Amino acid sequence: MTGFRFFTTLLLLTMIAMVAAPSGAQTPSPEGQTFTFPWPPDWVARGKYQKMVLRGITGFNPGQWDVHACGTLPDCLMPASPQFNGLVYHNPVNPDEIVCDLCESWTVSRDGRIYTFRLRQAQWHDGQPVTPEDIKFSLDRIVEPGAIRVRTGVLRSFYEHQSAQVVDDKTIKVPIKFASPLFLENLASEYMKMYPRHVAQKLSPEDAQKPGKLIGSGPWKLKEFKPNISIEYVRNTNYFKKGLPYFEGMTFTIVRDYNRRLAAMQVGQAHTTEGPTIGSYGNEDPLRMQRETKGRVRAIYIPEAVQTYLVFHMNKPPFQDPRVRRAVFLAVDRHELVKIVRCVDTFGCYGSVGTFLPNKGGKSVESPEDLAQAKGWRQPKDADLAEAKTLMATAGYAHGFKAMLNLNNVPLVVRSGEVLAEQLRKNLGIDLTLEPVDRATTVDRIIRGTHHASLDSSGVIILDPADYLNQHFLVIGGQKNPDSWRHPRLADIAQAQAKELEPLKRLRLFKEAVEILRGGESHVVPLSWGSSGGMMDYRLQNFHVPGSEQIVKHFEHIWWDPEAPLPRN
Amino acid sequence: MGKYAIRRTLLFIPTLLVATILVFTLFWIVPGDPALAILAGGEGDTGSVSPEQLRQLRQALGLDRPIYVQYASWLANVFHGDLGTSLWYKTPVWHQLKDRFLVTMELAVMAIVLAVGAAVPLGVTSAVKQDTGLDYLSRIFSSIGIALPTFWLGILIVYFLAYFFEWLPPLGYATVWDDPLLNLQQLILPALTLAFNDLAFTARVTRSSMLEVMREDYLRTARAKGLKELRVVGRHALKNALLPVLTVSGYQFARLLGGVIIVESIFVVPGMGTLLIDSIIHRDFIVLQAIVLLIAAVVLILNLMIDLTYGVLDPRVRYQ
Repeated sequence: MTGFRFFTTLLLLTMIAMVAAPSGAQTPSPEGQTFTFPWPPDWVARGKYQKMVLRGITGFNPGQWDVHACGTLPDCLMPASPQFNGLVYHNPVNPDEIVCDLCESWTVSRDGRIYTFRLRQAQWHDGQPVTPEDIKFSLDRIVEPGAIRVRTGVLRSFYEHQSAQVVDDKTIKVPIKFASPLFLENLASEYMKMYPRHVAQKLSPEDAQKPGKLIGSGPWKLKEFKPNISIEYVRNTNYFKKGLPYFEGMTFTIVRDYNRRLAAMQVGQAHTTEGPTIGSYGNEDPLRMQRETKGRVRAIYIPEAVQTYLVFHMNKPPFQDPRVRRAVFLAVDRHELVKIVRCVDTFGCYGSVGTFLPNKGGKSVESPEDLAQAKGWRQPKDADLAEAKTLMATAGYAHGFKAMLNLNNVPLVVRSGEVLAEQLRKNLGIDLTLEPVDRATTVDRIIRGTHHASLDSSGVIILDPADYLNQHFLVIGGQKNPDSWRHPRLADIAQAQAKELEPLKRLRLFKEAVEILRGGESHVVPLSWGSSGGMMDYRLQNFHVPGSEQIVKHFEHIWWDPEAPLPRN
Repeated sequence: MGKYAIRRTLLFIPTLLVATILVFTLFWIVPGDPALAILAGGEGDTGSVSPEQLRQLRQALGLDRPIYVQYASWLANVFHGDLGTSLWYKTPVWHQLKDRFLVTMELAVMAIVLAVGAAVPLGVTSAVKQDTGLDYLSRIFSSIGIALPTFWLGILIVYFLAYFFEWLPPLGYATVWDDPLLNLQQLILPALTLAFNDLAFTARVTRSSMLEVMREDYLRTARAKGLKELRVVGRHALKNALLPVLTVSGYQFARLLGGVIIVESIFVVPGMGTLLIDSIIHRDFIVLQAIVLLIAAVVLILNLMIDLTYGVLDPRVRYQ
């Protein structure tokens, strides 16, 4: 190997290592760079097993149990996840980091295009060993051509169906289409679960969605799902991660009424909510509960977990005119909106004006200083409003227009809609009529484009700025881009960033994407970022707030300490 | 009476058909469908659903067929004793319905027993002691009961119990056969909540009906014959005053089946009310249709039973 080639290879491996940033032992080898994760890590011994059932409450009544196919967090991922493992996952005690779950190590080839995973000694819930054939089957199932894959379909961009190779009884080689910093990030998504081939291949897509039909290797076995009553799990006594989980069982009672859930936490009927989940407790209630129970109930929040945004429907006037879209983009006073909608005097704010792309996983595209100067965000609003008014006048709407706004009937969303409507009325003379409806109807209206605009929200899925581009610009014509808005350069950037291994170059691509989006001509206008909240008894230990509500759903790492001191409020 | 009962029973069929057609039509007018609920989530977070995925799932669920074909297919299955398979849970609807129906019926029966059990003595006392302090108290109580919406009372009960006593009925659900005490703990508060409004209304009806009867000549005669007041009121007045009470109670019971929807949600009772709300959220029209069919059948049967009971209580009533 020449000095130059050696240097380039070393540089490439270092970049991939920087992107993945795992804490496991890193060993360069002739094959590439190997990351090893010996079991158990330090924290396991600190936990205490209790012969008790962890009692939780959830507001959702699941109907889907096949996480490969399903598309929603509370109706599917939350209840299904504790039964399964991924090949890799987000470290539950340091959630920004990706570590091995079913694997004990992975090796990235020198060109970054082949990942070789070595498996731990693990068993499925029926006692059969987890084999590389099972992993290959699961990866192929995730990317199965033609199958409905709402969340996991993104892996199709990286992994070719049937391309993984079983090396031996412990090792599998997974080639990817191009070297990418996003492959592991997507593979670590909680939706990318591994299934036993001997069970899953016999199930029809419909049967796989039934509770208990699919089994996993995870810390919990599904004991019983009683619709509208409870989801009961028992401890997997044969779990390959010795020492986990720390409870005998886990029961989530389904409580549909929001106030009854709060009351259940208040009187100690539950130890925990399902964790921070979109829309459940994204306001001051967890902190209020913490105060009223004198610290027995602990408030937990994921900051900037959910983005609320306006979607323009460009199938009819006036938002088919880019000047009108830009005018609205500029005229929204995000600071005022956040202050009114997401702040409470006693407890502070549960959201922020935020950035375009999520600043997650230690990757920040837009700095606060940059944001303070950005059009649409900057204060005072005078210059932006002047430009917005000019744009409206040139588009022929100097005196505004009437329009219908489609939105969900959740109080927080309605309040956002009211503030937005008032700002647009005052600033541009746009007379918005709000039509709040239930979730299914809102989504239906978005897809069909029945209104002039819609107010929608979405949670962060992967801890990377690319998450925003994936969600809003990857699926064309769907819920998040109903009128198939495209920008040639943005599409190029979306492709390029996924292949760019050098962090600085990747950052530059994201900055360029932000500049395009700040033009305000796309179909989407970010309004604010909200927290995702939940509650836990103070005696539950070892919970570490993840960067997204879509990760760390195993409930394998938390334990109960009856002697934990009551924290001071 | 037999012919009358048969004729009324036969009338059930068109009534039920009309009810199901109405619900089916209304359901399809409302935007959103089961495929959308499954892929995009009935609530909370949503994925990035594409039109292609929606089309695929709609086809798989048979939702791409014309509405009348879907209805006819559902109806044909019902005539064969198959209520269908839940689109959300993927299990036979009957499996869900039978347990939920029993829970709701238990709750409704508890509520009506509590309501009538308290309302009749209250109404009778109020009538017998007309224009006394007791009567005024009873009337104030009745007015409050009628004015308070059931859902609000339920929320108040939960709030006060949680805030001041740090106690609430246990979560989950135990059947009366598994654990009668736990079952009672779980159902007594929702039953009381449901009963309060009916109690107040029934008490008022009992009072006015009693007042009317007590002015009748035959009661004066009974007293003149030297019968004790308790016998006059209990045997002669009450029996005749009960006819409107019975009508009202029958109506109230049917109304209770609607009232349980909110109360079951507030008190976490896994009955038909919560199933109904879920089926609407998830656009699971197969379950919704089955619930409507069942509730309509119960109400029709109840009405028939009340009509037939008239004849027993009042021999003057004849069935044509």
